Amino acid sequence: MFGIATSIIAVGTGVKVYNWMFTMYGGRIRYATPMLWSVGFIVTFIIGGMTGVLLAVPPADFQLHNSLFLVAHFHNVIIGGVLFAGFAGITYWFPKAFGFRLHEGWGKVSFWCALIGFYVTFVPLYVAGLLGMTRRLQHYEVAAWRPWVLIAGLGVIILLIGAIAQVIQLVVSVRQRDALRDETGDPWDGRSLEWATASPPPAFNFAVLPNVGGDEPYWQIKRLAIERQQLAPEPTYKAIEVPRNSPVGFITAFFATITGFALIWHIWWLVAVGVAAAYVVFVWFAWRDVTEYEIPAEEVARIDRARRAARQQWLEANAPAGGPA
Amino acid sequence: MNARNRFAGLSVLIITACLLAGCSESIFQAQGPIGAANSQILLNALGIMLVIVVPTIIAVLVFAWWFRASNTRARYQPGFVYSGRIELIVWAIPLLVILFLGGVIWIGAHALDPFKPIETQEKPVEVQVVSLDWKWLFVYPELGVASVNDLVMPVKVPVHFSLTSASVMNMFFVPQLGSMVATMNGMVTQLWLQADQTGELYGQSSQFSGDGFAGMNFIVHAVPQDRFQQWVATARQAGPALDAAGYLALLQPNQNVAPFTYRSVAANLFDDIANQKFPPGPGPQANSDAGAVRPTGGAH
Amino acid sequence: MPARFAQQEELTNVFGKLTWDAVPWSQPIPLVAGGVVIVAVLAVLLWVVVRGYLPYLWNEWITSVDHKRIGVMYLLLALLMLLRGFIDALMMRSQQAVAFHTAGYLPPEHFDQIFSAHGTIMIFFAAMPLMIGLMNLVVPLQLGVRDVAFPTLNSTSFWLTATGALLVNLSLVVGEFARTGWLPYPPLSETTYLPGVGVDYYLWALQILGVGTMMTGINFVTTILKVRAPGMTYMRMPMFCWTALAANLLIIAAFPVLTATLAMLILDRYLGFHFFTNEAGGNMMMFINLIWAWGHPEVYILVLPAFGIFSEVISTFSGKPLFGYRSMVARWERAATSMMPCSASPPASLRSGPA
Repeated sequence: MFGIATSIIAVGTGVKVYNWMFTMYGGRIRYATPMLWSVGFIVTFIIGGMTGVLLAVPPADFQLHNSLFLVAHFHNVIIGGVLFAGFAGITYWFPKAFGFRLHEGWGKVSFWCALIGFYVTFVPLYVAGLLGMTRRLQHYEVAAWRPWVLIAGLGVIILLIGAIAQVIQLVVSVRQRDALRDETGDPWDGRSLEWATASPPPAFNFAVLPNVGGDEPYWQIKRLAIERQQLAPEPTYKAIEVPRNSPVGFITAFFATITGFALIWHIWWLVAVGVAAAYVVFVWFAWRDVTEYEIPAEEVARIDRARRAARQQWLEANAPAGGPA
Repeated sequence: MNARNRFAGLSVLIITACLLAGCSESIFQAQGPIGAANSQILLNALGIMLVIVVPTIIAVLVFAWWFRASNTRARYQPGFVYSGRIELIVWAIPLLVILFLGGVIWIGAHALDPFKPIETQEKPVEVQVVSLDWKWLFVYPELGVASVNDLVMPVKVPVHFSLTSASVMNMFFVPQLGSMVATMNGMVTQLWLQADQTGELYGQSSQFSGDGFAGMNFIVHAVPQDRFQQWVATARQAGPALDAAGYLALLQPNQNVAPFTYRSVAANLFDDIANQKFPPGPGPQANSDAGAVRPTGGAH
Repeated sequence: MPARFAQQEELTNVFGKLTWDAVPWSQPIPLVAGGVVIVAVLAVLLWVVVRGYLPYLWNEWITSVDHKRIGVMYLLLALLMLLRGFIDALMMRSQQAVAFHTAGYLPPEHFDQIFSAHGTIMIFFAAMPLMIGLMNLVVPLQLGVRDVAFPTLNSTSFWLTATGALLVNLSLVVGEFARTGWLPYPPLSETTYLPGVGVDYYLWALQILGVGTMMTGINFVTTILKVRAPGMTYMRMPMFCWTALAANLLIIAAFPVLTATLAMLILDRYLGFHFFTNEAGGNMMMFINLIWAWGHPEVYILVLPAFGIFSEVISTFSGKPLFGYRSMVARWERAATSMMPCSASPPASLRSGPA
């Protein structure tokens, strides 16, 4: 039952790969770091998904449950899926959050180290699992496993180099942030609304909430502006109410830490103190009167006009039918 | 990206080479019918999946390479966002594969249920297994002997295992003979295995059970039938008796236990263990600070 | 029984079970590691205070309810915990590389904590915050709105996640961590076999984290369903928002199971209940079924946002809209809704007969 249910879910997951594949088909693919992570992901995840379906077959699972084959499978899908996505997403949206891009060269180094390091670490573990090695062993005596465990040890050093490259990338990017500056808020020729804002966006995100007319709203806005060689007309700016910051999250967590620690160590009086304090914080917060503050219309206008000026500059610098460099 | 194409091809080669490298201790070199059946199904399933996976990976890499922005020969089709025909194919293929696999799964799961007896003319050998902290006890109830960390079985004779645990969960597993099965305190699980050739096989627990887990392995000696009778006779002549006192001594946690045998076994010992007439194995002796890390008894 | 006797002592001891022995004075590896981390944290704090950044940090980041700031803080937490989990991995791989016919350099009681911490940290404090951080940063912007539905709740979610991470890391220096693996199966995780504080650190860190994550689930489902730019119908939402919706629906469905299951184990350990023991009608297999009823949806909670990210990235960098948007949407929602019933089946190797 479990095996069949898993296999059913695998169908939908597998078909997605074709969606991405046919998105690439007929495209004009630019290989910035996020796209490298994406292609690396597709290949790696297919393999990981395949070994997952294998494990869903009960007779196979009777031999491979809790083995290093299992460990290699879930690292395959988690690293290839979640971790690669995390790095792709961070690289992709970093300029939106901070106003400058991450250094491309170091990004590529960390990608290749991660990809190669992943395979050198985990393919030997698949083999060791097929040789019968179980997980969580603090020591072992079977000679047949030894070469694979050693290769995996080498692989993890490659991953370490990749991790160091990531740190270097961050440091170098911050130091060179002026050279890496994203002026327009749309460094990748994006298609969705986050790229309509400045980088970083102001507290209120959008000066005026966009009116969405169809799919890929920002792409439509952009195409129209490029066609007409002018921005959409300036909107009427109004004052915007923004939620007030609050220390309640931090303070609640502070008392949660104390309560948790006290529960762990059986310090019962401290548990009572922590719970009571957390409750008091909640009550105090619930009674606050002023929950928002207002950004005046002139301030909104000032911020948004700066964004429009940057966009205008880009429009003039890039003649019709051009994309960003 | 040429590097990527080359790399993918290389990895497929490496994986295949690993599998074919004549690894004599892999689950594919099974020494018995259960293991052989399990690994056959695994290989069949792998083959079915590779038929889809390999072309897909190749197609992904080909598209990724061909449609790169610098390739002026590739046709840019930004409006290509839907195709009924493609949707039909990309749904149909995995669906058919999974249906096929589902059939394999259904049949295999029932045929290879660990509880299902092996069809045989031979009278099966009964072995009762108890996982302790951190060793394995094998009781031969009809032969009146028992051994610790050593499992002797005659070739070409099915062995019927009844398993329980004296303490925490473990999993009895001999990779080259076949399926693993859990052992749990207060419950009895079952397994049927058979060795078809003589040899020494590696066995272990595959469920983490505490600090001594890594040392909790045993050797399976698959021997000809006359040698098996000889072993039983020898075991009856030496070694301690596995009575209540002997079992309680065995319950104390220790690690990396060298194999030994018992010359006699108290009647119904296994049933008494499984029905909890004996207490479960004790945990670490909590005498003072319950907070600090406490090394457990026995050498590392 | 020793546990009961200890509890009587605790009532009179103002520090409960805590003594100076809780710090691993006799074990160089955790001692040095803990020492280095403490020094590093203090150094950073000192630098922040001396350079006068504290007011800025407090006003602009720590008390911020802005989804973009909270998203960045989640990502920072995720990357730091990824590093910690990776160091655990380095230790595990190096121990196994040397420990052939020898004991290696990590004794079992330490190695067991390391692989347990590795799994727990990577899943709960690296992968989850990584995905949640990106969802925080991006989803309101993609929906064309100003913030999530409940900004202050959002801030609380983040800080409770940080609390969980803090408790797990504290176990390195004060006490020990669980020695069960990342899912604490009974009977090993009961007080009979692991009476120390390790499993308790795990349980309370995850209970607190679970509350935070539940709040994130509620927040994002509400936001995506109710707070979108005018004219943005469901079928005009970017794919990342769809996968975020599916993942957060799964969070709401699955995390209560985690909370309940861990609560039952807590009751077993603290008040001598018998949910997962053999006496008094308990059953250890129930823990395994329940925890996997959470565990299987959890991996989809992790991977669905990942799929969404790739949909966005591949579409942008190919210069084309996503292929087959509609059928993909249908698939996410089917996957999310079918996840729960399918997860409740037990693994086959655990079937047993009556004793």
